[in-house]
Amino acid sequence: MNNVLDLIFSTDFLFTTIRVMTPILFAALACMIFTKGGIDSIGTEGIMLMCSLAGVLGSHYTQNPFLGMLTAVIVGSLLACLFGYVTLSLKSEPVLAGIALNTLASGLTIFIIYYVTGEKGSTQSLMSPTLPNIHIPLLKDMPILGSILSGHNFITYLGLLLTVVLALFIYKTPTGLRIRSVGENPDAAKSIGIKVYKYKYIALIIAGALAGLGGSFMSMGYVSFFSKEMVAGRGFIGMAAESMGRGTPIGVLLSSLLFGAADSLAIRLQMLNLPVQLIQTIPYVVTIIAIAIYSYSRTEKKISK
Amino acid sequence: MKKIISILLMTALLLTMLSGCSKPEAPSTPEVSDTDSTKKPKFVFVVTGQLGDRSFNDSAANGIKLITEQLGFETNIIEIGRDQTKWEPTFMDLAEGGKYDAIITNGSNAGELIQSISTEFPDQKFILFDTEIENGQYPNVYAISYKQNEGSYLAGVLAALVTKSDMENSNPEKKIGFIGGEVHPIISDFLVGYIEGAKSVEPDIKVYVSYVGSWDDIAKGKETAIAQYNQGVDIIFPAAEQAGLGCIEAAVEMNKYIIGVDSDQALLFKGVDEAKANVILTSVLKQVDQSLLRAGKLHLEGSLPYGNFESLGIKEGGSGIAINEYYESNVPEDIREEVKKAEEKVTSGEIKVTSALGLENEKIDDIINSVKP
Repeated sequence: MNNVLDLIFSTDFLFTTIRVMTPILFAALACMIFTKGGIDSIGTEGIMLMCSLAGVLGSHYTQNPFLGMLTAVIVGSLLACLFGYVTLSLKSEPVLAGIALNTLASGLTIFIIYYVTGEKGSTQSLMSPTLPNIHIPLLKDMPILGSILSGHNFITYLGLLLTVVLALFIYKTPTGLRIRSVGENPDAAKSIGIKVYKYKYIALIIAGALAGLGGSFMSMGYVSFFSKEMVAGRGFIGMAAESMGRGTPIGVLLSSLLFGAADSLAIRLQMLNLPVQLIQTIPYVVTIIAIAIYSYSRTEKKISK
Repeated sequence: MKKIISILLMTALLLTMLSGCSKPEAPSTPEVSDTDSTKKPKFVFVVTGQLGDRSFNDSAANGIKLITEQLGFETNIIEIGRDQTKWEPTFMDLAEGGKYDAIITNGSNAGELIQSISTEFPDQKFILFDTEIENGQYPNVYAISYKQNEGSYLAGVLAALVTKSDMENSNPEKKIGFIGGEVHPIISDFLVGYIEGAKSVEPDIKVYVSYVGSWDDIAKGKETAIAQYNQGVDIIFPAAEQAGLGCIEAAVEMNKYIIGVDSDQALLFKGVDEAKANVILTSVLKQVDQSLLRAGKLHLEGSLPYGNFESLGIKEGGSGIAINEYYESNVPEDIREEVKKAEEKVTSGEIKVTSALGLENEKIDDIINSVKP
């Protein structure tokens, strides 16, 4: 038992949790903006995968990781707009279009890496600079806190910062209000003269950019190359985190953190003498429990009203 | 405008599909006249997945190349992707067409499918690699399985010697690691051999065993490896396909060692990323290419035992570890000597390595538990 406690209550565990959380946080923030704008978010996975590759290629050709990240952001926004064009203007079924986008991403990324490197597995033969880890002055010298919060990747801090910025943006700015109104009731928004498509596309661009940042973290922060299917379902976990966090930035952050903790706990518990199959269910069991507790507390509130 | 965009989208979609089943390689010996009595056999390799994995499929493709070059066969490679719904129609078409003397494919993926198809096409020969079949049941199928447990045994010997040694990046703790993609009979076979090899050197060794839970998730592979290294492990043997690439990256970052799998992974990084090449002390090889070349030769002689499977170990050149320049420069000579001695013992039959294939789950668990930290 002491072993378990040592494994969980270590600075290393909390540090890992934040690292595991980062791509999920970006996916969840992207899903949050999609949902706020009333757009289906199922294509997040595919956008992230494409952006993982776009980031590596941008970084390789410019030899500057920040320009690589920018490439990923632009590609993410464009893909989200493409998805928006197909579903909003051409009126196709959003779920189908999202699945098509995800399928396109897994095939097209392999096609592109084959075209660029002659291999179909990964871009390891391309030299692409990665985004730096940041050691925060003062904080890094503090005991415990320093080793948990300092030394993360640039994008991780960007994610935390963006969570705050997005919270202000959605709730405190006119644009944010309009995005929410076109998402909740486009007809009502239209009747008071809000350009529905304009705000939907703004939401698409922001969400795509967030997915792009998440994707570039995968290939330029987490590891240093692109590999096929490397997003491995994080876009979908982001969707779950978004709905678990009920679409609020703080809720999204906390549920992403929970997913991150569950995942890194599962990795650590394997070190102990426990059956693997059981351990690998932890992230899913945690999700079910968390949603159950949340729903229960909500129904309780409603009843007491 | 809408039309143009929809055309563009269609083109993009088509391109994606093409990447899945890219252009088959052109037949290398064209124009064989029908009157030619010494007509060369035709083989086709159906890739259930994609080439470019720098591992299993690529090794098989190299085998096909060797068959073309050394035996002069007409060969073809068809990639059909991971979508299993497309597999059956493709194999049916190929068998029905009757164009090829033998259809080669990865049996650990498509083995059962081929077995059921083979009875419908008794005249079509099939060669499966990396699987076993019931002997005599399918007279037109030949299967090759690899004694990955023998190669892994040597990896275990090496890992235990490294963790005991005073090599630059090894610590005093006698802990080594193993990371599998998912729980799978073949992966257990790797693991059992690895443990047995390590125990032969150091009976008190501790082996950390983890699974990524995916074959593609490199980030999680890296995370799993970091967690093991943090426990005092100094060398890990990952058998997790693509996800293993993440483990290699963890080794570089943390200044630890790794053992590659399936193909000579250090050589793949040569000239591309020397830091990665240098942490990969050796690789456990499944010599798919050599085994296919051997099958091609036997087919030509007419002595390939269709209807049966053969298990190829170190002795038959089907399994082993990679001896390359990185192994020679990074592993101290006394360790290399020990590994060589172990190899000789396995080849001569003095040591019989336990196989997880066909072993009950409880027995496998007992072996894993005997070295649990």
